[in-house]
Amino acid sequence: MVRLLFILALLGLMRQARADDIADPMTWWNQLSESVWQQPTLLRNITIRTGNATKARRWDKTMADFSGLGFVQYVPIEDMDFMRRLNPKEDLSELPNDLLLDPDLLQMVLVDRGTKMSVLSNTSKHYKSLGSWPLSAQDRKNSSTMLTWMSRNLGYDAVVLDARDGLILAGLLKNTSELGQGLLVKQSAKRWVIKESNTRGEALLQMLKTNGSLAVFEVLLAKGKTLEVEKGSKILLGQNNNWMKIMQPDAASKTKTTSPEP
Amino acid sequence: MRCLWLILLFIALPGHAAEDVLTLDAITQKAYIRLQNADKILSGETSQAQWLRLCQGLGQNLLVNNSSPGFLAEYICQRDIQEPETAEDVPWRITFTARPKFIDIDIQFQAKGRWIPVQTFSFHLDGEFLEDLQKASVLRFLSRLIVESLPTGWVYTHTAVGKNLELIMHPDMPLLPEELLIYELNYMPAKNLWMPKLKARLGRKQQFRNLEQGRAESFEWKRTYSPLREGERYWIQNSKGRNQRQAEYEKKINGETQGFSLLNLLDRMLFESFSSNYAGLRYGHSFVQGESVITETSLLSLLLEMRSGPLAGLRLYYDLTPRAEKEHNGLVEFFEMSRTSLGWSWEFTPPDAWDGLISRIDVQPKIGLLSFQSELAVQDSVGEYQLTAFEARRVLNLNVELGLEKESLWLRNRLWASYSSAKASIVKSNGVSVTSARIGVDAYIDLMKERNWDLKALAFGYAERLSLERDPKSIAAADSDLAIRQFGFNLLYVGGGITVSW
Repeated sequence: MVRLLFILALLGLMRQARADDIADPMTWWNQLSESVWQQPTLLRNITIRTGNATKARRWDKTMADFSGLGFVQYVPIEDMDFMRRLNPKEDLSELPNDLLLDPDLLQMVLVDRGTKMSVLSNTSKHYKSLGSWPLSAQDRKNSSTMLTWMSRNLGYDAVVLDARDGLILAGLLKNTSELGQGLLVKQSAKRWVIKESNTRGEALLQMLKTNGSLAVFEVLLAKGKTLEVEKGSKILLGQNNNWMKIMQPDAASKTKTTSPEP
Repeated sequence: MRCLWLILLFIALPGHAAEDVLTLDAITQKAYIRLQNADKILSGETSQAQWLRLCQGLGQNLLVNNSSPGFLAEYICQRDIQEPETAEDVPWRITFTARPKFIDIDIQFQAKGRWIPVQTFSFHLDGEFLEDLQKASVLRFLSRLIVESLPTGWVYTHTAVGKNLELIMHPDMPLLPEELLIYELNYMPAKNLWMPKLKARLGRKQQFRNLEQGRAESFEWKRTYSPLREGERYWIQNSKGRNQRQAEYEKKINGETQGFSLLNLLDRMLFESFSSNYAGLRYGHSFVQGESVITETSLLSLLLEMRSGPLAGLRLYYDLTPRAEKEHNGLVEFFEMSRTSLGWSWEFTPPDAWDGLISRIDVQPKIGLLSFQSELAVQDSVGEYQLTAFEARRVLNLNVELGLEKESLWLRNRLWASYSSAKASIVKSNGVSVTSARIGVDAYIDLMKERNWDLKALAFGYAERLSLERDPKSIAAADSDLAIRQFGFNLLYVGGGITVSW
């Protein structure tokens, strides 16, 4: 244990020296290829729908600044409905409604059902129910409380966008400038929701740089000798016992990260 | 309601059927610009040169460059009647069609060998369009009007890094829309559906600055849905949709060319019907009450109204009241009349405030020839009825008619009134003078619309007070000891007919 703590401290010092050489997360983000968006559980754009037009407008208002809080963007009606404004009304009247949405835009749709919020995922243009979670008046108060609600129920704090040269670019559910540690959750790339029982660690990460909702992490410790970081993998932040979850006698080795081609 | 279908949609967990879609890349779009009926319009070298300048000017403005929103990488000016040989590979076609009173610009997109109408602008211009439209400023406004009307919008090349970006525009142009959407675009031919794939939303920042190369308009990234690649081209359009600022460009172009006005669908139909020629046949029956023979009369009428071409304004009407007979006090009365009128119409557009009530006002001076023959039972001095003739042949009369017309999509109504006075000396021909006051209404209802002609049903009704006065000299010369000096009667005809317009 002492040896492990020593290694961690040493890596921390090395990180400081290396931070200046790390690419800015935004620069990295701007260089990402389209393939990153093909990851089926990469959550970027959501919307909230309700059967009542007034409530829907209220949600658009409540969530107006949601997109500035983190990596996940809220898509209001005005953007989701753009197809209606590009096509003549008479040409749309006979068409099935599902054609009138931007099919690639939304990854998740939250449906307001009063005391609960149902969550639908959009994978390969098919909407699938992920479940319903209680939604209190406090939760629906503003975009920040909604983000907290989402983070709590989705069960993760960041998602892997890219990995190369031992570094990971991740999108943060909530913007932060604090350079904390994180846990890369094992086999989480295909999961929309991370439950407590799924939080087996694969690697311990150290955040090196942040820029808004983007962060660059370095792998401090990994479970195996090689670590393949899948795009879409989820990261838990700020949990002091993260590293405990992967502290196995054979795990204390720094591993080069690679990202499998999509 | 819209939200309701959205929620139903999501709850129904729909799948998107695999449909055939075309991707419109923002790099290789081409168009050819042509003039319909060019062989008729481009008769001389001057007109050919004017067309070429207009076409090239517009084409240049529609090209993607740094200071003008464009959507084309290339354009071709069609000079011949035939389409260019490369037309099959050109996705866009912009066609100018000069009609009698307005110009159409049709923008079409080619998908799977078929030309799909995307946008039509119809506009009226006081001057000569080949000449007026080639002004540099007009072409700039016209091209902006076009790109803001297209599902593509115009091309945005991504260069921005950071929170803000600047778009360089020509300083004369109106400021860009307040919010813009950046997107990729697909087209689904089977459903005639333009399918944007949103990338980001931009919002205007207050300030802009004038640079040497143009006016730099500052925008901030409001939402980014997926990353934009440095140097890549996307489509960008007013977030409110297509065609949101027509009135603004109309005003700008109007400031540069006299009498430019964009026509909406109704205006266009209005102009079209105003510029259509009509020929028709109608029949009506007398609705006058009483015992007179006039109650038995009917009306057969031919009409010709020229509203375009060299004879635009000409009106020709022939009304025939065939011989009608009726027994009255044991005597058989008869009445017949024919009237030919030749007129010329001057049309006026009413003030905008009257638009809801009146689409057009016209004034028509007419010259007419009226022939009239009757034998009516008239009481003599001892109270006995005798048949007395009143006859007039080819009586010249002048009248003036005022018409108020209201047009809707399928109906044209015209309320009119005319008056001719016996006071003018010219109307006293053949010893008879005519005084007439008429008021009537005509309604044209669309029955059939073909490419070059329309068929309309016509319903009409008019009331007339007609007075004929015989010159005393001609009465003195008459053989009969019972003569009618002045003969006045009321006519009221209601009926219908059919017209062909072209």
